[in-house]
Amino acid sequence: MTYHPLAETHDTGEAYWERLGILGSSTGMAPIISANKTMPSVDAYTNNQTIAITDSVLKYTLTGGNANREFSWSLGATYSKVLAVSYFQWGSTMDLQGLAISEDAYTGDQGNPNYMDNYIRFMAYSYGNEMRLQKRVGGSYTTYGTDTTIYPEIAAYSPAYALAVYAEVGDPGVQTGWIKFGSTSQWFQLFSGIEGDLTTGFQTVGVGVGYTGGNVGRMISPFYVWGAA
Amino acid sequence: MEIGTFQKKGAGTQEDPIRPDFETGPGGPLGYTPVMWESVGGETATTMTVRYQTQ
Repeated sequence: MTYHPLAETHDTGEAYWERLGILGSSTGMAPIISANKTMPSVDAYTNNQTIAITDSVLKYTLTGGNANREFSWSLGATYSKVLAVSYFQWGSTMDLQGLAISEDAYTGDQGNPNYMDNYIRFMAYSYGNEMRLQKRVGGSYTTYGTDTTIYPEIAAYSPAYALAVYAEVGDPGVQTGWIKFGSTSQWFQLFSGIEGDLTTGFQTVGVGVGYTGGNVGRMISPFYVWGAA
Repeated sequence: MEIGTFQKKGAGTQEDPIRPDFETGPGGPLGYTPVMWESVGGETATTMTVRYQTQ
């Protein structure tokens, strides 16, 4: 069967996810965040960064010294499986950009640089020049996959790229990451990891944006999140 | 691609996460870190089983 995505759903990959059986009426997955144009305001954040939304672009700037920063959106309920999709643009020479799905709920100024916990995160990680699938549970990080053969261009004015991450609770649970380059390329899977600690359901989708003070990056719509109870 | 079980290493920090120790695999050390690997389940307190690209 030939895959011909519809133009109107090409960027979010809906036809692709349906073809994989992740979305579609039989899956129970329904839209939670559907930012097709204007990026939504964040619900929680690390305080040593500025976040400015201008239409389709959420621009973050890491203020102060070196420390990790994150921001996140509440899903408003608990979901047994979640798919999150968004575009990113690397704004600095070193750092990370990662899309995470967490079991915890967060609101407002979290202060703590690494406030998100109990999550799976698919990320571009410049410190290793790699893509990485990573879990944080109980404050401890475990890596479930790395690929040093492919990652976004790490430069201040690099082209936008996209990340997608899917998580399903259980022991074993399923966590999968996809990447996409350029406006016309298709999604392709990099990792499908298996771990067993995320079992209670997901309440947050968030972004880890790095460590080095002064660094800049952008998260760009479409930003979509689907979930099923 | 091969599948192998490796001892875990790492302090659990973001800079030094828990991950497979490819130098000390039970089947013999690889002696290198694969350019691509991913977990395939069967994780224990001390080991991870992964699919990895051979050198």
